[in-house]
Amino acid sequence: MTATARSTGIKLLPEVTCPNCWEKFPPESALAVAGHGDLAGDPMLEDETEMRRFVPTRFTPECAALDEKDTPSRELACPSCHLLVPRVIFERRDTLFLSIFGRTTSGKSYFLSSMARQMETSLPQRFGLGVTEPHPASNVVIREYKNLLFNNPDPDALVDIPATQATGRRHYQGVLYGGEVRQYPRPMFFQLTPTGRHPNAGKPLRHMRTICVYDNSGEHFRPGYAKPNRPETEHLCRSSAMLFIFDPTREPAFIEKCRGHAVDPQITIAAKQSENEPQDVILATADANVKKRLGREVADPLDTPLVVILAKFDAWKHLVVGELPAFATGQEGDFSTLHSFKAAEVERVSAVLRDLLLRLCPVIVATAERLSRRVCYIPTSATGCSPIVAGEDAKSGTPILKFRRGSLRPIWAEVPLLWILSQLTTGIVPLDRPQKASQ
Amino acid sequence: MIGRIVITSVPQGIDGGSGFQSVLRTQRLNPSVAQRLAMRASYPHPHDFGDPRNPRVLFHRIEMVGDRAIHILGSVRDAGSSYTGRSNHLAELIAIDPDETRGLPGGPVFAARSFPWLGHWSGEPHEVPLPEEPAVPANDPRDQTFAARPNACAAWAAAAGDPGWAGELAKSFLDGRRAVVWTDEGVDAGALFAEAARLLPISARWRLEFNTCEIEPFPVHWRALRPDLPVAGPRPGRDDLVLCLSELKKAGQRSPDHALANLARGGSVTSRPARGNPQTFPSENLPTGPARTQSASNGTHGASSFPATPADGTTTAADEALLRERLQEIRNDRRRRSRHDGSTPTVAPPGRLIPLSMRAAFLSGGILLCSLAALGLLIMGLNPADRETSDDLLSQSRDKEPRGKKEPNRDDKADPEKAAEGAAKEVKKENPELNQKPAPQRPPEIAESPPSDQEKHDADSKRKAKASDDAIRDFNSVPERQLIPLMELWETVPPRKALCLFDAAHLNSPDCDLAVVDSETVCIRVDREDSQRLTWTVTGEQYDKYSGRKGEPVTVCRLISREGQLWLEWPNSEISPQHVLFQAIENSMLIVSSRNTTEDKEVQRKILFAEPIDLAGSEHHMLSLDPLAGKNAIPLAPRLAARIRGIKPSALKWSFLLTHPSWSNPLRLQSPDTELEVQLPSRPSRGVPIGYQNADAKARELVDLVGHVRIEATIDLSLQEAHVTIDPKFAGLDGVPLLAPLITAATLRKALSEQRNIDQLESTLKRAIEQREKNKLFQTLSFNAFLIFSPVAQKEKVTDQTTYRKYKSLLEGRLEETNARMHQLENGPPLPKAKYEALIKSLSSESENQTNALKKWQELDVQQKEEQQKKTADEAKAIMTALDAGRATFEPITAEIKTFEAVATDSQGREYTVPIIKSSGPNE
Repeated sequence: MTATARSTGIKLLPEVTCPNCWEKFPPESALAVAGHGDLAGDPMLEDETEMRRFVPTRFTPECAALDEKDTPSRELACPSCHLLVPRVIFERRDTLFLSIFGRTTSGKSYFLSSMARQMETSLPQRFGLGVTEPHPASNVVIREYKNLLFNNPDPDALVDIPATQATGRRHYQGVLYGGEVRQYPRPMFFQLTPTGRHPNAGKPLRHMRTICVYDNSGEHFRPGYAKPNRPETEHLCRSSAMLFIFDPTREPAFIEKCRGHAVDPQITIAAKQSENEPQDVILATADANVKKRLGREVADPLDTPLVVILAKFDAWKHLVVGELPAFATGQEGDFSTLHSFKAAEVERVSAVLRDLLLRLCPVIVATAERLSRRVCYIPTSATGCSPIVAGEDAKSGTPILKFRRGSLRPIWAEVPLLWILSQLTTGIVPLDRPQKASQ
Repeated sequence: MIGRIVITSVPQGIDGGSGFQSVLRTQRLNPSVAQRLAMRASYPHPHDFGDPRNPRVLFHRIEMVGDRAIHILGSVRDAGSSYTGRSNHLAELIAIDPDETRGLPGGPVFAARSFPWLGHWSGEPHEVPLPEEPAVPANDPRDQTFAARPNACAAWAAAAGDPGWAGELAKSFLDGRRAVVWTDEGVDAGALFAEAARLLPISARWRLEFNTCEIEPFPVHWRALRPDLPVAGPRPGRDDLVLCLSELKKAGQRSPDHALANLARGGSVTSRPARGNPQTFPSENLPTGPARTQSASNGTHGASSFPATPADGTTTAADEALLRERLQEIRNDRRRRSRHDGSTPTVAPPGRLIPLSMRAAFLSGGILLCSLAALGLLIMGLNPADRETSDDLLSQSRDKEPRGKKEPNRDDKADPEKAAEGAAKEVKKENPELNQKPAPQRPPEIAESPPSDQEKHDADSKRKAKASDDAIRDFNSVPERQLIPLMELWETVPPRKALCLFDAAHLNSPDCDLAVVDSETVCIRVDREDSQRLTWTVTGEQYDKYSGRKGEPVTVCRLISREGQLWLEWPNSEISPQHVLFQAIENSMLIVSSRNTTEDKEVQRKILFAEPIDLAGSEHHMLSLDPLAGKNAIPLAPRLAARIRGIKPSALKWSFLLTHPSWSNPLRLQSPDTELEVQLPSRPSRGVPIGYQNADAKARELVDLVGHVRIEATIDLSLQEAHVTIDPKFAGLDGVPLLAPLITAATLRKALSEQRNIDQLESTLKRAIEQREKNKLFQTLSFNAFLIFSPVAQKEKVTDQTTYRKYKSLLEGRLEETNARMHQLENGPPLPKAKYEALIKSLSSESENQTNALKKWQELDVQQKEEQQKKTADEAKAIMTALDAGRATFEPITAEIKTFEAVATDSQGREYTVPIIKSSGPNE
């Protein structure tokens, strides 16, 4: 037994954080998930297809827990909320939890799917980082998004991602606490491992990192929503880094500047609507909730990196002089050499955008820098093009917006993640330090 | 109803946020209930939003909110695109108290299908006071006709071939099995479930959870699935009933014969089974009484006879008892599933590690403690079942009862007859209606020994005599003057119903706590007493509805508000101005008093009516129904609306006189009809002739087109909403296909208004052409006409403005993509020269072609703008000219309210007609 454990053993974390309810527990107290088909239905979980959770007391020689029907089981669950915790969470290195937040229609889901796609294509090709899904069952939603957006074979196909709803099994998992149901957003996992030409390719176990992200509905970030029995946005308080999606096409000052310049129908539609909800309120709400939860002074910025993502860059790029610089060394299509991330260049762009925001929406800058002392302003476009008016709603006459699949070319969608990795990790993202190195 | 919530995507919801927000909510709805309802509002679109194949889902589920169970009825559907151009849906959810379901014998399927769901959302978000919420439909009219007509399940016959499958589905529920019904896209699963649910005993119906199309998984008894949609929930279990309707129909398969299947077929409930059908059900599973036959000699089983649901919808003691037993089995089965076994103890607190040895020690200790606890319980004589957590409403209601009352039931288990009797009593306690209604009558062919008419009459007389004696005894015990807190009375009426609302329960139920209608009516007036701040005197005048004269005023009662409660000074009464009861009086439908008349030894209770509303001269007397305003609803007078609210339509009589300048004779909309079809101008006229020159799609040339514009409208009286709606449709333009979409209410109204000043017509038209947004219809029409002649558009099959723009965007997208590829090639890593040149050449050629295509399209754009302006003017003129001749044709219709009366029935079956409004002269 000891020999087996030594040869196949997994280095476990001393304390595991549940990616759903955020309870911390030692790995030994994790519940096992029954494997036998007759044991479906856990009393704490709303989803009746979920298998029953149990405290494992009997094991096979291969260390699989045996359920009451003697079926070996290797899935684990949180002892507090009974939701599934992928084994990768138990292993070796702390998981990086990334919280994406922003108002409704800001493009969180689009950004997430573009980021995931770019991670899987650009990171291996340019940075020698293999991106895998350590628990594919958790990533159903993001795979669906990617399929909808990028995997249609017809370049003329009009595609879109349905609005993320504030409830429903697709995005959330319900847990019964007595007569109360709490819904937790489904975590999605990616693992980055140095491969190929990466200098640390020989030590993948040492440098690999797991990333966990969530896709919430924008309604959850509204002031007054977060309550003890509404834990949907709890991940904000526990995250390793926060990504605030700022949608300039919904900001009156930006709309005004874009009048006559932009052809994006989102701007023309938003200009006619009276709903433009201030986005600084979303940011301020996050600030207040996180600090309240962490027991920090409101005026004291956190050390957690915050990326303010100025989304839909293609629609307002005329407000920034010149083209975006390359964020990495090497040419985009040239995969013969290992590229390095130009963090300094990204931070230079960040400074330019900070100035732009100071002119148009100063409150965003003030709130962001009160929330975190490590703020970076990064422009992105999840689609790289404007949507097309694909029709009108038969009843309301509202234009239906979709994207031409062949025109989708995400702009800087992977940059926020690269910047966060450069801030929080070492030895995984190759960094470019040309000037200092050469001088 | 506890409350309702409607959720859809809006720029601003009730709470101020954007996105999916509550747009309609019951005032002061409990936040926990609201939160739970909101959790059930999701709608994952199976198809693209706006696609008609997206199903509308009706569902019912029972959930625990805090420590109480609630019923949730829901309707969720696709709502096209939201204000942001993204997917949208509309979720309407209502929460119902379990106690309330006893007054809703129709059951959840009927309620979900008949509830007035909004269907779409427009307008401003708002909250609605609970009394103004629409009532949950209570009685399924088809239940009542059952005794007279066999309950054939027509929808099942159409979908599955044999309607007996409805019975099979109903039986599966009573047997504690879940069921999956595979339907096709065009099949209304709600109609199927409604028919099957009608076969269930009333007391079982509200325990049935269902969905009419499973797109969001949750455990229900009846799941409807569609083969064209992905299965959202778990795969059917081994014991589940699975019905694939199209295959059943194709194969002509007949359902197993049993009582419910026979009922579903609408035939005799004791029919013979199909020959060669070996499937039978164990006798103990049949929801039936002892009347069961079996013919084993020929190898087939005789069908069991099942005591059919009586005509009045009540259940017999026997089937209630059997049902209760069966539900108990289901409950136990569920408990077994959900209970943790020995290897699944209570969750350990996080952060605590317990070694296995210690766990074993704890386990041993736990077993010891459990044994001691069990021993203790045995000593105390407690029923362990009482301690079990209830998982359905049935057990909850049982748990609410005092333990002492349960004891006989346990003892009765040994004796089946006693058990059935005990269960029947229990059911009657659970459902007060069973106590109030006469004993159920079975159809003669299924009753074992049908009681004779004389016996029934005797039993009825005895029951009435006893009720009368009880009432007299109660009234005799009341002193001449006594203050009675109305709150106490309140508890005897159905919850959340105002004491004196003029509703069906008070009028028609002879066992009602409050009143039956007597032959006298009294007009009341409520005056506040000067000396007492919170006291009102109610005076009334006897009112003779035949002569229309009033008698001498008398003091009816006094109303006093004291210590936060309402007091009735007996036989007078008292009330607080803050209370809904006061409003009821003020709105003045009726107030109830009672009097003990010693002469005839009979309790006389009176309803005191307010004076009929005098609408004469008010703006609400004559309703103006403007067909040019589109579909619009004209509300009835608020006072009239307040009075008729809650009265069921069969207890109302009405008469409206409809007149219009173009009609030679007036029309009448009178009870029981609520709808009337009218036409402007009246038949046989074909309408106002209209002609102009426009493109003919078939001939592909400009032709002179002539049509006749007429309005065919439906006038609808909604008693629930208290308004009259006119829904106009423009017809007669069959020969003018391009003009048809142009004719809208707004167009006609605008044209008519502009004809007042012919001189301004030209300038108006010119301005209208310039203001593109306001003349969208004109533009669309002429644009479409132009596209028909455009070879480019014809080639691309672009026939309307939206596809035109979409195609243009696609051309731009293609060109941009090609240019981006060229850019990438030029700036990317170097390629071999030959390969590079070939690629560049190919891409350049592609780019050039795409640029040319886009240029052609842009030329088309310029041309269409010019054509559009010309056409717009021509068409607008044609309409103006045509309408000029028939201006009076489209004037508003006048609807005069002639009568509005309530019909009430007393305990003797006598019918009384009570005028709600003053009659406005002779009813022509």
